[in-house]
Amino acid sequence: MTNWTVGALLLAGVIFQSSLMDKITVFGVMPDLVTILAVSFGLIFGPVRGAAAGAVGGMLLDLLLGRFLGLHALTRGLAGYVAGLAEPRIWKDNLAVPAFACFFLTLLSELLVYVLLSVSGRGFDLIAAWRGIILPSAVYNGLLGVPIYRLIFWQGVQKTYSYRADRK
Amino acid sequence: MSDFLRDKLKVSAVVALMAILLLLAATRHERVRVTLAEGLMSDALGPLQSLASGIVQGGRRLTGSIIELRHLRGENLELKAQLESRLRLEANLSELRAENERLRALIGLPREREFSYLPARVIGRSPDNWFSTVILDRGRAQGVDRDMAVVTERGLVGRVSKVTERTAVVLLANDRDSGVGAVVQPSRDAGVVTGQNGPELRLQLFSRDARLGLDDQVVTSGLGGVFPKGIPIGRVTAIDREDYGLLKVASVTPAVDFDRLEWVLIITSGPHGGQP
Repeated sequence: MTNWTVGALLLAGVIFQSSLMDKITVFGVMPDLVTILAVSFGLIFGPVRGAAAGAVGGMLLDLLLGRFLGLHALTRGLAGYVAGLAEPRIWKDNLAVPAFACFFLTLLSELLVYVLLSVSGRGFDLIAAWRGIILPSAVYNGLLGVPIYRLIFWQGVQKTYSYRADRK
Repeated sequence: MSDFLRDKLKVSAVVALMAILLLLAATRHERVRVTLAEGLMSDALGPLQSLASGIVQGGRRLTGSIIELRHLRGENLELKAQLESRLRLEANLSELRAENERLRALIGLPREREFSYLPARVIGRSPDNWFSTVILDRGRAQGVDRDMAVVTERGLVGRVSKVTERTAVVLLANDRDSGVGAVVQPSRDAGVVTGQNGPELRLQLFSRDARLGLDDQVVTSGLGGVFPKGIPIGRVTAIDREDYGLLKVASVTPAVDFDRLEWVLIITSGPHGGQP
C-alpha cells in the first residue's frame, strides 16, 4: 500500500468523520474513523506509519474543528504509534487483534483527550465522560475496527505479499 | 534501520510533539482570525462534505417519504386544522403588531426592525464526541461573520464561532463552552443557559428566589450583544438548587433537536442594524 493510498484513505476518513458519522451514533456517540485507521495502519505496517497516519489524520480534524489545534493529531498519533509497537508480535489475520487494539487504544487516546481538555480549562466530570463518551466510543471503535482493519489488511498486505512472491 | 535514521526519527518525533503541545496551548481559546491552513482546509473540504451529507440527507428523505406515505391522510387533516388555528392567530398578531407600532410612536420609541436571515445547510459536524459544533455551507463570501446568532423556526441553535471564505462553524447551544443570557417566561427572571454536551441544557438563575415552574419557557434575554432577545431556547424540565442552596438551577430541554439539524437560519442583521 503506497503512501498516496494511505493519504487518500485518511482524507476519505476525515470527510466521512465530519459529515456522516453523526448519522450512525449509538448511545449518543459516533465512531472515530481516524483512530481506527491509525490503529489499523500501525498494526499492519508498524509504529512509524501508524503514528504518521494518526498525526496527519488528526491534524486534518483539528483544522476543521478550529480549536485546540493538535489535540487529535497528538492523541490519534499516539494510538497509531502504540498499535505499531505490537506489530512484530501479533497474528495479523486474527480479527480479535484489531478489535482489542481499537478498544484499548481508543480508551487511551480518549483519556488523553480528557486530560488535555481538563488542563486547558474545558473541564468534564470524569465519571460522566467515562460513561458518556470514553467507554461507549471505545466499544464502538472496537466493533467497527474489525471490518475496516480487514479491508486494509487484505487490500494492502495481501497485494504486497503476492507482488513480492511474483518477483521471487 | 540504521542508528542514524533511528536517532533522526526520535528527534523528529520529539520536535513534532513539542510543536503540537505549543500549538494546543496557543489555540485553546476561540480565535478571531483563522489560520491560512484552516481556511484552505475548510474551504477545500466544504464541497466534499456537502456532497456526502447531501447524499445521506436525500436518502433519509426518500426512505422517510416511503414510510410516511400511509400516514399522509391523517397528517393532512391534522395540518388543515393547525392551519386554520394559525390563520386566526396571525390575524390577531397583525392587530397586536399594529397596536404595538401605534403605542411605540405615541411614546416616542423607535420602530423595531425585522431581522435579516440567511439560510444555510448543515454539511458537517464536530468530528469527535467532545465538542458540539456544526459546519455550514455559508461563509464570509455570503456575509457571515463571527458571533452571528443561528436559529431554526423552532428556536436557538447557537452562534458562529469560526468563519472561512465559504464555510462557517457554529458552536451549538449544548456545547460546554456555550453561554446564553436567558429569561424565564412568564416570571421574567434572568439567568444563563449553558451546554452540557448532552441532550439537556442547564439554566442557572441569578436570584435564588426566582420563580420557576416546570414547563416554563426559556427565551434569550438579548443581554451580551450576541443573541437577539426573545428567541426560544427550550422548556424547564427539572428544578434544583446547588452550592448549598445559593443558586437556583434547572434542566432545560432545548426547543431545537441538535442531532437532526439540516437547514438553519443565520441572523445577519439585527434590530439595530449590522450585528444582531
